Amino acid sequence: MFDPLHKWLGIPPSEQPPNDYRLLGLSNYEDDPEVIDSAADRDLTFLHNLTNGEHGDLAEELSNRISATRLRLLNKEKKAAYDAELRAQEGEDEIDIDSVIESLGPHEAPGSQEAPAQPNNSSAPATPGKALDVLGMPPGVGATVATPADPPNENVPPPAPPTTTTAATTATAAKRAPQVQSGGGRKSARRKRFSLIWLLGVLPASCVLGYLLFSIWTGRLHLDPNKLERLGVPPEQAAQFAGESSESPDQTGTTIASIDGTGQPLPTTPQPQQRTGNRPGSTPNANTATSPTPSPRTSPSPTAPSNSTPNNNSPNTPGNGTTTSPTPDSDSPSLAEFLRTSGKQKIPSTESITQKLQTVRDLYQQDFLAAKTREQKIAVADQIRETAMETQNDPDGQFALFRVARDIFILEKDFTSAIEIVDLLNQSFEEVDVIRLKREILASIETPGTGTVEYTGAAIGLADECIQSGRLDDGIEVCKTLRETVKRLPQSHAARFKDIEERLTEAKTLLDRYQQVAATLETNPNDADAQTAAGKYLCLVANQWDDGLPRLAAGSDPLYRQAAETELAMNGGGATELQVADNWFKIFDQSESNFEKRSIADHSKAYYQSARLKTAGLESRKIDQRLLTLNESATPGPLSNSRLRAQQRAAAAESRSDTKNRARTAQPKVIQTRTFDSSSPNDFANIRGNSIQIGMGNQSSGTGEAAAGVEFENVGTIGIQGAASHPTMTTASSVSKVGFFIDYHTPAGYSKRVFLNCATNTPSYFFPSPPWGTAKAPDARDFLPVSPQYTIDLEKWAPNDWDGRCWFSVYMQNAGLNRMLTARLSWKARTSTLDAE
Amino acid sequence: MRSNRLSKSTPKKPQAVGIDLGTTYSAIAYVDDRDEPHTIINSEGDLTTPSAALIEDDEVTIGKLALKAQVTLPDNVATFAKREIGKPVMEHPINGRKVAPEVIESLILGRLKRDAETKLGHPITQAVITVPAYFNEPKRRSTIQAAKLAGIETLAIINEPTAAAIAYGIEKHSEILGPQTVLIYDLGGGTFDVSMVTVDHSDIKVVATDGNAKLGGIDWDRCLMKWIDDQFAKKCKFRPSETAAGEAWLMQEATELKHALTSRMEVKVRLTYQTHTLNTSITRATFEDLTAHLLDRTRFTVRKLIKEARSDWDNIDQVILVGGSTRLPQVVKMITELSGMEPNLSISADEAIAHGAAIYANTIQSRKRPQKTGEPAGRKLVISDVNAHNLGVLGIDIETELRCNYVMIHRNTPIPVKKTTRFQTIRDNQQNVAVQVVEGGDSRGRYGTHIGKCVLGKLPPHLPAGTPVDVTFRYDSDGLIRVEAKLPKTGQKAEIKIERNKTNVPSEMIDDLDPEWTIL
Repeated sequence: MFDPLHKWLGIPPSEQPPNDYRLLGLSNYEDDPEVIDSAADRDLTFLHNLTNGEHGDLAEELSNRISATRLRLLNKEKKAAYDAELRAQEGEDEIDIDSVIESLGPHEAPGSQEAPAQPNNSSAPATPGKALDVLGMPPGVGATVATPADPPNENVPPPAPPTTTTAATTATAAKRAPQVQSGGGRKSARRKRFSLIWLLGVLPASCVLGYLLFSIWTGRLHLDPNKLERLGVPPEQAAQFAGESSESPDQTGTTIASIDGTGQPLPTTPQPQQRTGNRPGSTPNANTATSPTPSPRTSPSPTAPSNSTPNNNSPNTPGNGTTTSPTPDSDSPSLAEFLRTSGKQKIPSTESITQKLQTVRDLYQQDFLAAKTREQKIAVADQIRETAMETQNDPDGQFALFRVARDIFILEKDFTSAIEIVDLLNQSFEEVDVIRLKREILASIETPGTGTVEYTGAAIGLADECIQSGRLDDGIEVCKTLRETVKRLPQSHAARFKDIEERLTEAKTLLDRYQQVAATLETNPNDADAQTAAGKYLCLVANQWDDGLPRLAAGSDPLYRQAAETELAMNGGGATELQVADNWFKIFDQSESNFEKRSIADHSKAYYQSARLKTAGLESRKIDQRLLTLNESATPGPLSNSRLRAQQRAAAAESRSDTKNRARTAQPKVIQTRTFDSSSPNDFANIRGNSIQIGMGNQSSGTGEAAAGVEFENVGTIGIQGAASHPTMTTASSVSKVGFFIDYHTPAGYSKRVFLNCATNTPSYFFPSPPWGTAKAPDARDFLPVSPQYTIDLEKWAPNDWDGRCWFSVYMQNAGLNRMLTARLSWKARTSTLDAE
Repeated sequence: MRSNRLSKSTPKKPQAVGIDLGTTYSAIAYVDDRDEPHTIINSEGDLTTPSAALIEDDEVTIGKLALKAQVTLPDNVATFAKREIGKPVMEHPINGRKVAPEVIESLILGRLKRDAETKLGHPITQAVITVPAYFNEPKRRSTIQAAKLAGIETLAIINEPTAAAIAYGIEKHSEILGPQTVLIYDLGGGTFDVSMVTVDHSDIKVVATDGNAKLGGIDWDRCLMKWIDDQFAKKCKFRPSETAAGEAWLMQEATELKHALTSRMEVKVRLTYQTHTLNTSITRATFEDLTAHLLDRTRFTVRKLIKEARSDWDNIDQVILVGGSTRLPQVVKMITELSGMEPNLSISADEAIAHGAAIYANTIQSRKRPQKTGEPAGRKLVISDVNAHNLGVLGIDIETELRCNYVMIHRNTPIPVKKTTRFQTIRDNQQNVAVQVVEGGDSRGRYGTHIGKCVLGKLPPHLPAGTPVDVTFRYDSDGLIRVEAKLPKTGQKAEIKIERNKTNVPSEMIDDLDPEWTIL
């Protein structure tokens, strides 16, 4: 009989059946996932070559077993359960060996010196387990305690719960040694019994207790300190159990996340630092505000370094004081943690939110429970969001509605919608920590699945936002989350992501240097090198030019000093905008750092653009050339905003007219094509070569739908040579459509859809079709005159942050009986370097 | 009636078809005058025909009826013959008799042939038949034999993912996309293949291929079957699997349950077998948990392929899913997570392979047909495939003096390929050299497929030990292997004799063989 375990995996019959670890050739309880994964891969690779051989069936069976083992050991929960079971078995085995030794006689047993301790243990065999159950201590500790001769050893890995019963059972078994020897059936029964005790008693109780402790520790569960005190717990400990630590959450480095009203746990992430300089300490939610360190924007002094470092908290700041005193808001909903007072709507009180959450639950719980599929649940969330937007006169209710909608979106992994909710909250409520909330949403997505491109776009957009707001650590964390979540970055975003990472790294370097020189400047404010470092950080990273320029002017870098002095002099009329721009351009030209280049480029461009309006002749030609160079310096600078980008786009478009400046053109690329038609067998859509053919056949009603689309990258102009089968292509004016859809891609994913109507009617009803790109009704519509050929400049309808990717679709709906449209496409690349980013 | 009509009609030119001979379902397709492939609908009006045969004394029924008869006549129905092809007989006797798997396959092919003849109105004599890329040599041979038994001349045996790539290239791939590297993930009823292919419309080049010849949808069914059986045991204290027709019934119910779970998140199960009724429900999550290890194996194979092709996901433009089992949501999810891209579901999972085979058959026929003046040239289809297994010979390593498997052609080598390696005789006055050819297996040639022996006999007398012997391997495009051996020292061309094993040779027997050459 062929033994595959022995012959192929080297597991002799005496060691069969092997446990999962033995099967993979690992030591018991190996917990490194990479080691487990590699071991399984190694065995599977070996067996893979044998699946076609004479023992192919056995190789298949063993491969299935190894795969199942791999999955079990890589799943934390399953592994824990399996390990517990394995430990139980090992414990049982130990019992039996000891028992057999005992049965040979106490004097012969090597461990007979410890025999006097056993009666003590045997006096209450079940007690240790139960005691552990209540106290929630690691069971192994109980076992150690049960044997006083053994000193506690913290280095010993936590022994398994069955070991607890070992000590008790050993003595019992010793008394009945002959029975132990009588056969395996009893052993098996006992093993089952103890496993049962473990599974039904200790394990669940430990889990529950562990969860409770964890909840208290993380602040999910709040106990009443008064009641705890009445139970005899000292006041300090009661406060601790109640989650009212004297340390702020920031000091402990732990984020407090509460269970929201709907019972859905919110994702927990490290608490990002927040600015407190402008935060009044008397707000109802003040205790939820976090880092006391002022931001560089609000407090430019180098002596109080940036808030984006996690370890620069000072315990003596006002913010810290507010976190020390427990308030009734300690169990406020998680969103309230990120809100602070300023303008807009006031933050609702916790009680009010809780009350409103109940109302929301009453209103929507039935709908939510009735929704079975993801789409249905998202539809419920959409409905809640719409209601929230309409509920302007009830901020408390609006807040609760937004929160429930957001939580459903998170639950259903619709991160784009969840992020939208954050923006909506920010529009309606005071000082929402948008970045942190968005970060949490991104972190809550384990695998974006089919929405990888959108997820990546959103993450990169957020990282960019972090840089712009000087929250570098948040940006770094976003990049890290993205890398962990998305195994393979979409090609269209790879370059942009790399760029963001580089910018973050360089900005972080400047920040670190800024913090290093903070102490120096306190003792020696005239240290020129320190002033340069501080000035560079404030200008290039924190975008606080007003604060940074004086430092640069007092610094040691001659180029920066000159540029800063000129700019400062300009305010007093001592220099012109062109001179300022030229000085910054000089730094731009000589710099080797991309980050520095881009920051300076933005600053310099602003002055050149302003100067361009006041200049003529040769100087204006020089400015145009410089602007072109600055625009070509790659992606927009870290501190750019949509306005600047629009200006750059305009400058680039201007330069496009000059054929000499059209050198840099990104390669156009076709990413994919798709066709779509309705379920009617008469409708058709196909793409052959460069030709698109869509139409609807012999349908007396003249209804039908067909579309064919091509996804492009870096295409600026599309030429269409087309022919319609009939001069009229309409049935009903409001619902007939013949034309082109353009879906524009932005860093946040596909976000804008434009419909170009080529027919003579004016359709008024639109549906989310074709099902690609934005897959929604168009945001904008335009008319094209009826013509056999069109040249479409995609820039015309493009959003400001269009990244060059788009879907171009030929579309027809309800156009009439036997209608067909053929179109032959040609395209040209985008010529703007800015556009090619 | 139909056959009468066929015989009365005017004889037309024979047409070559493409056949997807599947483990659970088979399909046949042809290419029309406009070079468009079409699946031929069978006499029951379906695009695919169940690969099941009901054998009763002198009567044979193929297809849906045979599948249904499984419950009532379990001993008379043969299913999943493709899984057993290459073996001498089916594991379970059919109608009390031992039947070779290729016989069952020939019956299925015969049914497909008859249906096609009826629909097309002329005889079908030639076909391109698809096999899993991971099929070994004996299985390919047996498939050809099955076609021969059915009266079909096999124009070519092509790999299923390659056929899918042809269908994708011709039917879906647009010229405006330009050359694309696609990953074909083909999870069928009984086999799994994955191939990395560069497709440029009609130019198909397989870069690497891998798979599992015994991993497919039926394994998912079996997991569910066991679950149903366990549920019966738990709730009704009764196991259907312990009754005569229970397994067949369980399998049918499991298949239906799988289909239901493909489209629904939770399915209520109410089954009655004999006097026992089971009332329960199963969620898709439970189903996915039950079958996670099977999916993990395909994941492993895909990762292995990417690694061995020295590529990465950035180089893959699209992942194309083929085979009925790719409808399982867990497959799409896994592929999306693994590759970071949404798989392409644009080609028909059930028909693509048959279409690709039909297109290839049409191309072969076009090449053979004399071109008329002015007639436009036929479709130019350029296909380059690779071998799926290592192909080696057994010899003695001079340094270690241990028997070893010397790999002549490594897996994923583009075919056709020809390779010559010099060996030497091991002892004086050796009379002959027997070259044992092994496919796959370990480094000592064990547990692989011993596909034949080429004996170079009647060597001249008094040859000293160490006389060179050149062994040449040829791996042709049809996936068949030819081995030659000659004695360069004397220039004498010895007679080459190839003995193809119909079945695998047990590894235990190899230890008794005496390889009479060493690797130089």
